[in-house]
Amino acid sequence: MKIPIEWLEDLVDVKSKPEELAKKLTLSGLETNVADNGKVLEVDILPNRGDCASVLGVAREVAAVLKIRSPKSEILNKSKIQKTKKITNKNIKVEVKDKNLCPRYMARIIENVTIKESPEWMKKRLELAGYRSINNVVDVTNYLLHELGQPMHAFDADKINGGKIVVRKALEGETIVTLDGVSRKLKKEMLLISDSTYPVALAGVMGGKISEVSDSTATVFLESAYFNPISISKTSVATKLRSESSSHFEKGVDYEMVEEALNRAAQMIAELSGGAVAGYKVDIKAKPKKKKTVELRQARIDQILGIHVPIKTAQMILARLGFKKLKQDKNKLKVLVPSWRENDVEQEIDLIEEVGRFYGYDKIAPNLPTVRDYEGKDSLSYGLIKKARTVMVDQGLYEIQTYSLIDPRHASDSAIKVYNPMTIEESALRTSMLPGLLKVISHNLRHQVDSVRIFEAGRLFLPAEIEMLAGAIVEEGAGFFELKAIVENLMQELRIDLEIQPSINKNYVQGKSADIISKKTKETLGSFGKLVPEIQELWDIKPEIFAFEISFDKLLPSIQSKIKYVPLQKFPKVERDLSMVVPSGVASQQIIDVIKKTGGEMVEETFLFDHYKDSQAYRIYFRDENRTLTSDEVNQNFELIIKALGAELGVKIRQ
Amino acid sequence: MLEQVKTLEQEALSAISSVGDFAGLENLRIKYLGKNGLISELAKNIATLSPEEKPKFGAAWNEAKNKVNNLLREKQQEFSAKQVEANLNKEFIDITLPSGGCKRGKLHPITQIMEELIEVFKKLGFSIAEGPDVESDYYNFEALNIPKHHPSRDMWATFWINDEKLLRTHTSPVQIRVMEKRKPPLAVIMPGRVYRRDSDITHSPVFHQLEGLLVDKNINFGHLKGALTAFLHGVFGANKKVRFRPSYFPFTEPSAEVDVECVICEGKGCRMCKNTGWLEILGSGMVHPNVLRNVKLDPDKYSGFAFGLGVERIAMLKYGIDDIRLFYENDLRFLRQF
Repeated sequence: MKIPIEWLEDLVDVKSKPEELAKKLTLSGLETNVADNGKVLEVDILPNRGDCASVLGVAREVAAVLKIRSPKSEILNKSKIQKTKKITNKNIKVEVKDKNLCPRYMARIIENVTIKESPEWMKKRLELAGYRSINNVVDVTNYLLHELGQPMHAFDADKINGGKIVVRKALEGETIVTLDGVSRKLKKEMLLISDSTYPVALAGVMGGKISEVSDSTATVFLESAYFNPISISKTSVATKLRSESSSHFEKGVDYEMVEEALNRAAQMIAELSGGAVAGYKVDIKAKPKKKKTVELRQARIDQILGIHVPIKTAQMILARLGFKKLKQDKNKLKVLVPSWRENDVEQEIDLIEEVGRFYGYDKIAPNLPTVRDYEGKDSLSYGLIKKARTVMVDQGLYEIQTYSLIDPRHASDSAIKVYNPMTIEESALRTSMLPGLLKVISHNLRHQVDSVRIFEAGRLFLPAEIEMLAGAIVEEGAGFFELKAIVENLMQELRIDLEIQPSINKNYVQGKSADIISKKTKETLGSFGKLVPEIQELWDIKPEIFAFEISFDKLLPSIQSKIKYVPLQKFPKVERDLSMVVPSGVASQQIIDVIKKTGGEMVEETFLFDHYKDSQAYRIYFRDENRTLTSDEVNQNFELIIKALGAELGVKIRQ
Repeated sequence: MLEQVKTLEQEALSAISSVGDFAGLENLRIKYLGKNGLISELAKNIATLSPEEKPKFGAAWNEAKNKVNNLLREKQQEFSAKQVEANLNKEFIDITLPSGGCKRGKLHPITQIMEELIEVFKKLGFSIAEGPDVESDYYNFEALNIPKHHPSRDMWATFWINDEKLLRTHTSPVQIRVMEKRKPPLAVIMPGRVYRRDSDITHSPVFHQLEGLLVDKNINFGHLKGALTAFLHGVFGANKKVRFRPSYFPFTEPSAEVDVECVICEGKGCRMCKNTGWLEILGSGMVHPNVLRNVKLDPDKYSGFAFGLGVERIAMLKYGIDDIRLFYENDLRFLRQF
């Protein structure tokens, strides 16, 4: 909000240089910058401080900061109407049908107006404040909206049908053509200002075109009201219409200012247009509002702020802000909430904030708290994901972070869709990690980054939120076994016993992919392998893509958390190597299984240590826990193994 | 015999000086000091000397023996050293040749910063909690003292899924979830993804926040200042000034925005800090009594503070990154730099 300093000076003595004042205001809660070469203060209005959204509002803050009086008395006198004429021929009856949505409705009439340009001083102020000058009547309403924070609307009284104004809820489907020339269909909850025939204004939001003040207007019906903030907010959102007026009403205007502003506006219009304020006055109120009082306890101030601020000091701060003292003793203070703060001050804590910000946050000493939370445990998935990330980095993969919102074409049909996305390409919550990986691969290849080794730890929405670990390698010479190594390293680090089986996942090439099965829970933890060519084509990626997808949620129950030490072997092992020609279709795992089964307890370990085409070489370690084995025993067992391999798998041993 | 000793001594020393290798050295040792060596032999005739001559001869003989031994040892060491050097020279390789590849990957810069921030709070005694990305209107707004149709809802441009479900606009809902599950004392930090309908060079529709909450008996604003000052010093350095500015959040009161001295210009004023000399890092405040009441805590008994920060923003400040979209583009030439 732009506050011209010269205008501000009408209401408060701005004693400091603009930059100094801006700094003081900022440090007490009203973020302010100096603009337009030192002529304007640009103020950030916080959503709970609608009362600051005016020159008067800012003046009050300035006065509180500088510890002086505001508003200045001269300005207060301008609100008094000078000599009203007896009503001649205009008498408009006003009825407020819904006093909940409109707790106060006031109106005055100014007769014999001549519509013309506003005087220079007013045009200049309006321009600096960011308003366009229209004419001497409309400008007055904008001027006072900016100065006092009270939105008012001027109607051409002659265009009001039937001499009647009704403040009521719209009928479903009723229409109004607003000032911008757009015809709007209304819903039944919306508050309207209507005459005997048509709606003449969308209350608090925008006036109607038909009754707007034009060059031919001779009599002005001036409205000033307090509209229910929620009603205005709902209407504004539903019609997608926002105005300075609606913005003020949404935050709640000053109930008392409704009258002061009206009087001042009527007076100004009369002066600037050569007209006169008629004796007519309307003031329809809902049942009388109770004054709001709040109590502030000394103990509570100290307890919340962490510093002793005597009640006396608190009372002085609040008094400067317009909170009148009602009762005070050593421990407690009772104040009357000023009308312009009724919308944001509800309870004791609101007063403590006022005291705190003017006493000065900088006066409160920083004090490191003793944290006594001994029950708090890190979420399990956090630790698991952190470990997994480390393993991935050790394996040479770069972590990526991609959007959770993706193109619906890349998500399943049942994916959760966002109702108001920014673009359609980011409108569905992802149901697979692959699209994110593929997009990044594609981007990097297009930018001449030839080797892409990436992973992501992120959430899928199935719609249940599950944590996934997924990655991909696109690199010359990369293959299935590189992925296998990554998966095995991860599972080893997490202490998960796994076995692999050919994958049934349709994204992967049959024969070059595997599903990871947990030995403990028998669940499928994930899949890895070469992605099918259709995926390459879809993303226009020429080289082969090797990828993996693992569910963190399934990993947790598979973890072998108990570690038990096994004593080291005392007796020596005997080593034997076995070279063989393996018939096609026989998997290495089958050979190992036969060796172990046939060899029994004596076979401590066996593994493949060399292979070329259909020749494979296995090493077998024989060992007994309790004694040294004789070579005869070992040879015997070895022969049995050789026989079994030949018989069961058709393997040809090479001597 | 005395002259013989002296002559042999000179001869031996001269021969040893000019010998070329270990073998030659050994030969000389045997020749002069071996069992039947020339100098050794001389001692056998000591009995033939007179009592006056014996001590003179003895002294000279010992001297000769020592001198020869010393020189032998010296030469031995010399040859040893030369041998070692010769061996090493055979092992010479060009150490500047490439190693065969830097095979490690890297964590994403957002993860790196997040972990760094989390570490600082863990040191202060906080534990980590998480919450869902898809939230209800209640947890994201109402429970946090943000009623329906309240103008403060404008502070967050929301992605809606339907009338009641949305993508969380901040990590604050996790505060409510934690307080519903456990009673104070509570010291919890809550990292996570949040979503806002906003996209430009400094705003991303998907980004990360870190939220924190400390609730106990007698927690006050001084504690808020203490904890957050310690945090900012931990992240930006102990010599950086920190300031607390009154502000507004519906779920805290009193509220404060926390600024740190601009890391680029050190408070003098620059483009990054819009010439103010300060960078806004955190939003914070004392937990609003309405929020405590919503989770069935008595505000007269318990108090606490909460805070939140945007992780991308800190990463951008720390690393001098000017476009937030780079984090989500994941160009490896970008990721490699961190």
